[in-house]
Amino acid sequence: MNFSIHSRILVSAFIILILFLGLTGLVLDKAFRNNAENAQRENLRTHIYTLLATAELGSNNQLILPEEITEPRLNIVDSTLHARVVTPKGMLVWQSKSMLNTHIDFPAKIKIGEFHFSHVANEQQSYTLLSFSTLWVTEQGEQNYIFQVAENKKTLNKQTAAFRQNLWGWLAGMGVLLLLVQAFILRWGLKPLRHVADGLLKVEQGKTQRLSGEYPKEITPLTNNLNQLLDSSQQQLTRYRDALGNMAHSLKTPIAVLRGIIDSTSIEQKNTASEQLDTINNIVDYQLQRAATAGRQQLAEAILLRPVAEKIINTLNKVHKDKQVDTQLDIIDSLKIKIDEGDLFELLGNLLENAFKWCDRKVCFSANALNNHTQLTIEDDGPGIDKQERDRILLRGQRADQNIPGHGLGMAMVSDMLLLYEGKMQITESPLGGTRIIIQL
Amino acid sequence: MRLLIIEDEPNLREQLQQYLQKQGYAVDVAEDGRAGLFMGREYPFDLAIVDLGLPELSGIEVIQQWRELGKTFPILILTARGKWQDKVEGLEAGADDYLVKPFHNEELLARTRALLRRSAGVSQPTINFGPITINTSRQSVALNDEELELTAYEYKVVEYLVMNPDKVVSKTELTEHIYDQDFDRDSNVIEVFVGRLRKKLDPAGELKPIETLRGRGYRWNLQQTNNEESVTS
Repeated sequence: MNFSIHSRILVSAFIILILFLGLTGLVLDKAFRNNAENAQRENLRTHIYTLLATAELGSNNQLILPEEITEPRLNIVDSTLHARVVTPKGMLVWQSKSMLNTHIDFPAKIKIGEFHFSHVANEQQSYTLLSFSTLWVTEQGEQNYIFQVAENKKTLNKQTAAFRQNLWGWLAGMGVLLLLVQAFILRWGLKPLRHVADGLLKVEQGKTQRLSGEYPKEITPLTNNLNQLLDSSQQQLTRYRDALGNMAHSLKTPIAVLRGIIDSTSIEQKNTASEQLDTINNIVDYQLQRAATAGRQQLAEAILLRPVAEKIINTLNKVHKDKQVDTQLDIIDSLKIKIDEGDLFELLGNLLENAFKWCDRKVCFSANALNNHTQLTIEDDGPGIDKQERDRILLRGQRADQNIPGHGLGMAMVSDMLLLYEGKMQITESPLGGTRIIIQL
Repeated sequence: MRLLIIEDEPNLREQLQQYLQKQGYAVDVAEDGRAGLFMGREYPFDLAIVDLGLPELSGIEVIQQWRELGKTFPILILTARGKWQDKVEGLEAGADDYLVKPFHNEELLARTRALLRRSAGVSQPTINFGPITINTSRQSVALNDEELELTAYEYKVVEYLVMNPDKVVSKTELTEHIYDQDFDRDSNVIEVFVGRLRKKLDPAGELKPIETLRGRGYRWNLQQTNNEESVTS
């Protein structure tokens, strides 16, 4: 899977935040709970001390506690705090008013002089218990009493729940805030990279020649290198074209001279020599065209199809003025095609020239943008091409009609160019009567 | 018909000149764009053959300047690259046809003839004027389907007059268009040619194909009749 840098950082930040905030929450929750429980135990211990302080021996050497205790919760029936005093044998000496209607299973055996904490829960309630066993000196000797206090956990649980809600609420809010900040920082931080990508897209679309604008120092070397690469490939293209043009010129003039010499002599073998010259010429043409085309396919800009088609048709109308060809051009003004302009001229030039050459009166050229390609259709009302000739015509340098020079080579160049642009060509019969050539680019 | 060739390669230039002269044209040559521009501006040519890759001044610029000066003679461009952008550029500048190097001399001749015919408003190589038939590709003239024996210069005079129908052509103009620059001209010769032509084309004196307008020149007087046969060049 290929995630963007933006989503990689955002996803990892999200996971780390969840872990970090979750752990923090757990630790804080635990600490709060412990703290609350400790506080409760201290409270219970204080209640035991209060009971011890209020207890006194009665006249019959029995321990007596007042009915009303200073802690108000002990005096209210069904409150959350309960207390009682029992003998080790389980005989009840005293119980608070809050013990009425309440049944709590207190532990029975307690070591003398020790505080004993425990928890107990029945179906409805759960309690924290504190028991303290003490020896009371009476006239008949030492008497053992157990002081027991119980607090319902309802309050503690409520406090904990409130704390938790607060805690997790804040942590979640903080998490969201941090993520938003993180996303904003990422966006801002990665902006120059997006700028580079946009720039490259514009170069690819042919809107600009190089990356423009200021970039942070971390990616300036990258953009500089890219610009150098773009510049050098542009220069190389120009150099190639110039070199090819010069080469063509320098090769073809001598061939023209030789051709002239052959044409003017009366030797019988001149036909053979002439054919050889034609072959050399075709090879030069073909290879030059190939080389010129092969170097141009990268970073080609989208260009308007119609003006180029109009220019070529005007040219051909001028050249074939005698024929008075009726041309029909069916291309919307805004149709663009991603191809080098020189290549488009060659492609349309060769195809339309053939149509003009072979047609009787009529040539139609239409183009449509389909899903992800452009379809060009060129038709004429000429004699058409036999089925077996159609395949042969696409082969290099083969001519459908030897009498009309240059026919086969032009079509071979077209099919070669289509190979480079990953296009397709179909030759069929036209409803006009002649050839229909369909190009998909 | 007088032609101008602008070509910088000396061998090719010479070959073309000789070949076209052999075909009966008066041919002048220039070896660079500047000289060619000057000649095309100063002399009356019927057609120019211009190489696009010229020193001093490119073929395109030469053509553009001629057209700006109002020169209307047809122009055939020669291009070595054979690139469509070059062809389109050349024809947009004002040329009428192109030929990619190297070419067969026959093809150059066919294009030249076609352009000359076209500029005269004639679409077929065979032009009929009643009993007189002129075949521009064979450079022959027939009277009642019988081929006449004409000298090269007699043919040039007929052709020039026919290619400029309804126009009064002066002796000077005729001289300028049938001889090239280096030829020693004598306008009296024209009168001799015309006299002989009248005898050959109109032995009975009924057709009167060439009219003399005193002090002004000659005019081809016959109307073109429909071509029934079409002969390709």
